[in-house]
Amino acid sequence: MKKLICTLCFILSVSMILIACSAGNATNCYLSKDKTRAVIAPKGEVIGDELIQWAETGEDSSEGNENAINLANTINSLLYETYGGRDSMPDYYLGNCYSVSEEGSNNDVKVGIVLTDGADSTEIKDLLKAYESDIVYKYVKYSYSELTEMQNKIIDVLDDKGIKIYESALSGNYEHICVGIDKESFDDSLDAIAEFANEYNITVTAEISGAVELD
Amino acid sequence: MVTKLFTRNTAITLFVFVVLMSLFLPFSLAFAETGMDLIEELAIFQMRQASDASSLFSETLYADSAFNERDVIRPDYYAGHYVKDNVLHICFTGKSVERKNEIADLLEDYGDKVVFEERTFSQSELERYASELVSELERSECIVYASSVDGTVSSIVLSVSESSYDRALDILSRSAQVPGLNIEVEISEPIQLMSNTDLIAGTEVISRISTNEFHLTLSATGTYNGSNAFLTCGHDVKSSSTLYTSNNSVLGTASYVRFSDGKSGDFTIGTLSNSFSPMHKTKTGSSSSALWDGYMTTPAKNTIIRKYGVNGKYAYGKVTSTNNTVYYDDIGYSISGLVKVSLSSGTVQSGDSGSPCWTSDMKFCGVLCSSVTGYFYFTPYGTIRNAGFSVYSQHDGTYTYHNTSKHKNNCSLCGGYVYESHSGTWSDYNSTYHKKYCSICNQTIYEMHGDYYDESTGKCTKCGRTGSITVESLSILPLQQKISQANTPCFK
Repeated sequence: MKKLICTLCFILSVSMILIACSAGNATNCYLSKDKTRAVIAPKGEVIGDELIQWAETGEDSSEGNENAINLANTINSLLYETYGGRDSMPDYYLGNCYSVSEEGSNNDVKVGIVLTDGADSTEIKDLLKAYESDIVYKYVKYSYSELTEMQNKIIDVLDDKGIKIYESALSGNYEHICVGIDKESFDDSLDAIAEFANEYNITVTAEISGAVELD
Repeated sequence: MVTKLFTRNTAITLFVFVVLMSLFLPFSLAFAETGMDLIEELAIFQMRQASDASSLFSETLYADSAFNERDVIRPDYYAGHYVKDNVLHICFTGKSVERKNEIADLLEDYGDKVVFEERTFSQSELERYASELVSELERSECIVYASSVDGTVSSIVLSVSESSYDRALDILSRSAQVPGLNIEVEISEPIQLMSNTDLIAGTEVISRISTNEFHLTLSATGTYNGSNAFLTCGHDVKSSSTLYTSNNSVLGTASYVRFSDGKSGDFTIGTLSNSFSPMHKTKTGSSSSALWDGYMTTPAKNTIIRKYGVNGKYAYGKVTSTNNTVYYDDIGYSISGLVKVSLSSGTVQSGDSGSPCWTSDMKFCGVLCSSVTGYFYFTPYGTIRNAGFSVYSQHDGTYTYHNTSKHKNNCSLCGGYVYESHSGTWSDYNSTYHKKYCSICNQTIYEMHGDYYDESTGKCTKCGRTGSITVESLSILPLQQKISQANTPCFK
């Protein structure tokens, strides 16, 4: 009898561990060692080294040099004057970022023009023809409106679940969304964010943040 | 005397050392934090060297000057100083060589960042000449609004009314000429004292909602629906309410307030009261200000942004992301379309809402609304512009002829004069003159070949004329002015 109880306890423990592991896989989450940042990707998606580096250091690898920043500002102005504002710009144009060529040094930073993969982007490419040698085109899964909708949606979703969220933003490369969560809610938020990431098929980066105050 | 000088110089040196240390240390730390590259750091260091040498020289000059109720009387060795290409140029007259050597010793540590030049006239002499000329013109019933001297180029500029211009030229051309002295006459409007009701961004705005009083910061002035308008933050402002300045004067009415749940941006466009004059100027410190030079609709990531608020004062940092939605838990509002800036230096405090945000090259780019430790958020100007507000961010007005090398613009917003070189290309006119047409001020300008004739090549370096030229007297500058003013030259 004693042996049977021991065997049952052993089986139960192993099952619990297996359930916990499978749940961990379902969330597909990388939590930083200091537990202040997390990267939550949809099930089955590999979390890249850059995001793991961000989680551990809080630093974004896409720094621009002075020339690239000036060019990015010039392109912003050109597009604003051409279209009269972000709302009138093509939905397949998400924004710009900085891109360092693999073999290059910091001087080889180019401006990345981020477009939705598969969209006909002839119009914007024609407009930016003059800067062709200093830009590279990068392609992402979602359009601007899809991504911003998710960015705004996550605030409502987490707020409804009683999680204190303070801000959301589009990532610098327009591939995922970022959220700032209250310290007390951070641990609880990870499952809810994982649910969101799976439902909307989007990677989310989360970090502990303070309350944003109106000044 | 030597002991006295030594004591004074030692005190000045120590004072400047302390000032330099207190100025340089925060910059060094800021650079370390922001990761500015070495080249940028070196450029700023070189600029600071000339600037610091200039401060040290100014202290010495101050000590050597005399003061009375009206004027500062500069020492007779001093003709002027200026900074060009990161080098301090000090113009001496050749008088008081001993003092010049002492000053050279004092500035020795700055090496080739300080150069000495010689001039014929001291600034005091020029001021005396200017004063005599003004008296002479006024005796002849000319209306003189101002006179200014520039010892670095040995020139006197007399600003007279339009009706007095021809008479002034005539009187000056008949008066005794002083070799090497440039006298220019310009037509001017009456000089008015800047009123204290001119609006500088970065000053306080007060909003009252029922019994509550909110202290905000003025972001900018501009136009909205064809009227002069101002800008501040949208929260803590009620639509159609009256906004006030810090001394309780009515600033204007909140015509358009953008601050609601789920919407983009946080700003108020107010119609400006007639008793205030709009400006394109912002506070940059408790007693310093600067003019904006254009605008930026949406700054790119990593752009350096500066702000000035009534309580947190001056601060700056880098854009970390350009499309943020912020959720204000206490009121349940989410506001989208904000730019987030990571603070490198300075703070943001309550009352800073509305602070103007601008770039390093003085482009106005938005209105601050909120903050969290280490960061602040602002509404980019592009969003505000789409709501119908156009910021005053540049000099207005048109250019008029100033002298043979420049035209000028008297800006009605800041009252300042902007001088720019004439456009156009010089061409040979006749054996005495070459000419060019400036399409900006709409004038034909004439100059004598003689000033630019290179004897070794037998060529005028300005217009390229070869062969013979006729050299006329160069001592009649007022007449030359007169010639330049006309569309066709007048030959004696």
